[in-house]
Amino acid sequence: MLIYVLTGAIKLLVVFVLLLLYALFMLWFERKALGFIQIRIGPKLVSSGLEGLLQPIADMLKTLWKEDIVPHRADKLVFWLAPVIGAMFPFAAAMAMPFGPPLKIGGSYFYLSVVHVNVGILYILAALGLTSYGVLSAGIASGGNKYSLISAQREVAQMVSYEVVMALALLNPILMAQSLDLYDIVAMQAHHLWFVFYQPVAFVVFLICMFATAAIVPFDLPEAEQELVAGFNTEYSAMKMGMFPFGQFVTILVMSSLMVIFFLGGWTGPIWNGHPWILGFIWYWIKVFFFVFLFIWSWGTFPRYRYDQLMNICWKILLPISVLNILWTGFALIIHIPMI
Amino acid sequence: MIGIEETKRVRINMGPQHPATHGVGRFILTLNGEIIEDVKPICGYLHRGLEKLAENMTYQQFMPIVDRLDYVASMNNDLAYCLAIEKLLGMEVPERAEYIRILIAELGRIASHLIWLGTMALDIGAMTPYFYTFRDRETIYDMFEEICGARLMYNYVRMGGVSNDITPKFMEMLKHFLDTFPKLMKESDGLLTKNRIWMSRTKDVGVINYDDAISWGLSGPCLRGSGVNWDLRKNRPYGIYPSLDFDIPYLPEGDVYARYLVRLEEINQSVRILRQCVEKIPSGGDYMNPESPFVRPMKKPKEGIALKDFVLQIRGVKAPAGEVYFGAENPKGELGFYIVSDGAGKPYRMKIRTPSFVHVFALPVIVKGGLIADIVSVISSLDFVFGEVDR
Repeated sequence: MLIYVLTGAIKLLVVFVLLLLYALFMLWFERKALGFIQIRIGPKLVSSGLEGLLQPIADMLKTLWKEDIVPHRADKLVFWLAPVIGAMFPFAAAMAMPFGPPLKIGGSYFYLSVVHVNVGILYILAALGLTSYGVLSAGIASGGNKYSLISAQREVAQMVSYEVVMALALLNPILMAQSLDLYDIVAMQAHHLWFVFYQPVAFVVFLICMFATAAIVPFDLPEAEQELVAGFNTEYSAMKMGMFPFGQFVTILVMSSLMVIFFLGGWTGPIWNGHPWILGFIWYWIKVFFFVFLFIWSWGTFPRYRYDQLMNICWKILLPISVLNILWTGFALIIHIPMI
Repeated sequence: MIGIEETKRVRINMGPQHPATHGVGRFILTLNGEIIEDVKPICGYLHRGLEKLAENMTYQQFMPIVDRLDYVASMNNDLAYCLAIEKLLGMEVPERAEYIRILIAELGRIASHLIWLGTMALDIGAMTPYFYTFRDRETIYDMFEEICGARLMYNYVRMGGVSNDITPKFMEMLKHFLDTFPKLMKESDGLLTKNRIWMSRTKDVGVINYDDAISWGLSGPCLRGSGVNWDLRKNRPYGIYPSLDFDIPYLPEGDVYARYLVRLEEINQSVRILRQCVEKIPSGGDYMNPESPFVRPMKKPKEGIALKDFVLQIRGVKAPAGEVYFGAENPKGELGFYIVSDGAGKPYRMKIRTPSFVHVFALPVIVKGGLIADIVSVISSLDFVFGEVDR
């Protein structure tokens, strides 16, 4: 028993530090990639030998030293709690996310995630769903700032729209694998084709919902800098404001890994499948980082949807398609159409 | 108590510090949820009293201030002002100067439209075209720097011609620009024009129909976006525009997308005009009417001439008494100068008819019933500059 607690604690610590490093890396990578897209250089002067790789550290130090302003009319407790919620739940979701294929040590498996539960996907979806409360409470607690309030309102509308569709899209692979365990779902794809080939519609639907979950352009409606002056962020300053992007980056990572696990075969590759272990690890992270990059790519490419348009897309187009898709999947499973 | 029957309206103050109001615009929005029920534009945050200033300045003294009207298309402002004064004084302009004027006016139009395109894309959430357009605008500003030394406030066009001749280097830069620019323009065009998100954000948004557009006094691309075929370069031609071959784009839809397409096509037409000018421009000749009273003696003058020049600078050029109105087709719309002269060296009254001022106050009609996201795209599609609105 003690050994489980101990390994759990060590895993937690390692994953937490890795996620923080990843978020810092993303701060740099996002700006560099956007710079590349937008014919500019991006951060360069801090650590000029390393192409400005240490810029995020300088930024973070600066953010920490900034004056922390709390609006006079703000709801102090909620105002303080909102960035914590916004950053904490993505981290919590990442705790069930696999960081690589399971290691076979002796007869038993060593899982590269902090917790390995057989309902992993339910846990991740729940934790990601709670992330919205960060934005929501930030918007409401900002002392009657109407822009923040509209931002909170948009966040609710957005969350209600995409959460349903996203869960329905994920239901298809779950039905096919007959398991809620992320490792089982990958194991299923190791023996057959990747689920993207069986479920192209669910793949596309999930791809759209992925951007909505992470609130990245085309769906960055709550933040909408040009309309709502950064919405829920408006009244925040110093590190409280810095917490939100941290949460967002971790959400991006979790969503990318979900995408890879559910539709692109996790750590199985087109060739050299599974053996040795390190290859699976590399396959996995290549795929995950492709999707992480896809987020930034979309950021630099698309304009923003209007929030009623997002709701139209989700409720009027994606939801009926997802439901029909599930019906078809269920039907195919019942009549036992053989999988390749 | 707020019941189901009773909904409360929210009033939001948008601006004067707001990223999407293009300067110091301030709008008081009355919202029902996110639906805009009323917009009240408020201007005056950049008021400098230019019309009153003009009454206390000689005609040539007011020249640099005209630059400050629409500060992203200063060349066009200069041209409009000079044409108005020339009309008042009945002054001739040498042919080469006419061509130079068209060159810089169309370059100014492209530069202004590029800023509009970049900021409009940014307002609708697409970050990248902003950088592409500013790269191209930068080459135009380099050209302007080459001919007059200034990058934003040029004061280059003068009554009777232009302040100095264009250089061979400028012509080289211009030819290079005309070769590369249409290809570079495709980058932003490809990112936006056929983009589904872009179309859904701009189509059927901010519609103003043919009649309303005329009765609210819209001009320029905003008017042509509502299907009115009206361009002062064709309808009340000035300069050498009649001898040039170009089309006036206009679309009947009247929405943001129509205004967007009209402006994009105008950029192409400007390139077409520039190409013709490059071919036709006379290689020699005066760039300034030597008869013009505004010409300063170049070398160290004799005593009598120096005194004459001194008096001219202090008292100004005596204009014949009377009234004159001249409207020029600026990138934003019709920029008109209505000058009342009582025969002195200063205008008795100068009214500046700026397109942006008219467009701002047509905003409530255009945007009513839209969402907050719509007002942002409508503002950017009307393309106003607050230097012009407040004067």
